[in-house]
Amino acid sequence: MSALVFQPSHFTAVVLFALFASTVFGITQREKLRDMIRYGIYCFVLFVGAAIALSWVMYFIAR
Amino acid sequence: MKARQISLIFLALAFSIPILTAIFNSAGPGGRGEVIVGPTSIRQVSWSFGERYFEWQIFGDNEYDSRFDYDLHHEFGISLDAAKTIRGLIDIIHPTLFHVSVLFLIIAIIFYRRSKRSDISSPGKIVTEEKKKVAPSSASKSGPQPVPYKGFVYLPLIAGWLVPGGGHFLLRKWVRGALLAASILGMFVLGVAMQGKVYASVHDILDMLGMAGDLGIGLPYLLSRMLGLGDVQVQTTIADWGTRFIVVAGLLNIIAAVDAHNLRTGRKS
Repeated sequence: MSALVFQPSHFTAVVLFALFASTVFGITQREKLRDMIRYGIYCFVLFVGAAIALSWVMYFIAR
Repeated sequence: MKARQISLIFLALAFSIPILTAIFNSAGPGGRGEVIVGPTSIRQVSWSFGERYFEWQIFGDNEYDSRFDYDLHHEFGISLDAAKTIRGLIDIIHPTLFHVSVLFLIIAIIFYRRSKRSDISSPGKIVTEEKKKVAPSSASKSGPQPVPYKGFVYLPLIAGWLVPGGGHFLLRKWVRGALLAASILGMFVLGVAMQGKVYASVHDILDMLGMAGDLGIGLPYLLSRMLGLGDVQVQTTIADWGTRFIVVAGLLNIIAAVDAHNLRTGRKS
């Protein structure tokens, strides 16, 4: 199973996580196609935005 | 007894196992001797023995409790063969406790749903009949309608749990199913590729939650266990990310399966 190794950067991991989770949220939490897309994008932005904001908070705490 | 009461009883039973375990395991030395629940009274013998015994009994940390039968032999003077037999019996029981807890939870959910259904049908029966008489066509047109799939009502839920997106495929929601399958399986595969851990046994509450999340993905979990994937020690941050990917993939699959069930019952269009 050595071929099955993936070592992304932290940011890539955050983006992938947000992408998959927001896709599922969009499909399952809304009924109309337009609402699904809007909600999916909203969740994606919140996931990534929150991760970046918290990263900066932790950066300053560590200093 | 009403269905809702039965549901509450099973819910309490389901949560009592991990909660009692958490209380017993976190209790101080003074408190431990006071806890006498069946075989756990043995725990009064000594602090370390009791701790080891109880954790082993509930969660099955065999490595940690490898000397349980010897403790039993030395502390109580029971012959080693008898002690090993007792250990063997408990070895069968302890993993069952976790499964019993999950089973209780499922029974509680089923009875809760039944109680909700009876709430809708029994007290409002006259009202709904009157509504039908007044405006049958408008009532049928408003609100989400069930999909044209006729079969066991829980089949999309079970199929969706076992195979990510399977419930939606069963309901002929091809695009939604494909997107869900791609997202959930993609997340799971990436998690494994990031050297994430697939929980195989539980030693504490956090492990239990992680395993519950992993089990949410259904058959891919069993497949990964069979292939030995995710049988690793988490050593890097990326591997920790991978473990979270695997757990969250399972949780998302549960959401997707419930969504398929809602489509089947007509709660969602």
